[in-house]
Amino acid sequence: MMRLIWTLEVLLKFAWDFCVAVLQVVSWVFRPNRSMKPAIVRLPLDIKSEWGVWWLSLIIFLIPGSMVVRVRLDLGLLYVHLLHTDDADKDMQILKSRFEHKLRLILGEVKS
Amino acid sequence: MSVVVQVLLLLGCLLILLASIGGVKFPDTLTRMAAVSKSSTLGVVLLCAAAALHFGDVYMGGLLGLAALVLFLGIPVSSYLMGRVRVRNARIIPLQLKRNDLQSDEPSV
Repeated sequence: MMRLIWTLEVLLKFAWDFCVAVLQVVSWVFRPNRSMKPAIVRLPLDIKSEWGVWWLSLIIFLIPGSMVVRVRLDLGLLYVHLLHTDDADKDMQILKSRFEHKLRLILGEVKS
Repeated sequence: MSVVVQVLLLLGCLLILLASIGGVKFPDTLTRMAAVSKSSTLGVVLLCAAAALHFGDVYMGGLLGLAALVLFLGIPVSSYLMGRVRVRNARIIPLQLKRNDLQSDEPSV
């Protein structure tokens, strides 16, 4: 039962982030390239299962402006390319707290 | 109803147009892919929604929903493969990045 609620929560958060990020990417069409700060950042994972990594990278992919460019399952690392970021570490923290913990709860890796 | 369909169609077309302008304007491969693949996903999904509303029967709606689902599953895979190849070649053709953890972690890649 709780899993259903968590899944809905992740879906709603994802839909919101998706729309916000589409607007962000579109807004970069109207701003100069000079001020754009793309970066490749490492994201250490707490999720252990392959399904969890798969879901998390699907979410990262579908949120415009961020995409996974390399997966290291052996080290538990994702390398994420960001279209624009002022503080990359903070963005990674937000990503982790918004999605990763809930995904772990849904997949039953941790008890709430 | 037809107003909703028209608004959805307009929004979808506008998004795809802006995404393709971004694809021309952005500085390097990865940012271009970010613009083209993902903004146009939402655009196509909006077009699918508009078509489903226009035809308004369950069969058509299911078919278009399935098309949107395939899109959502397929685009990440293809753009991951392209991005990985591009990052591997980053030594030969440099990327425009302010920070690159991959380069510092794996200098040989």
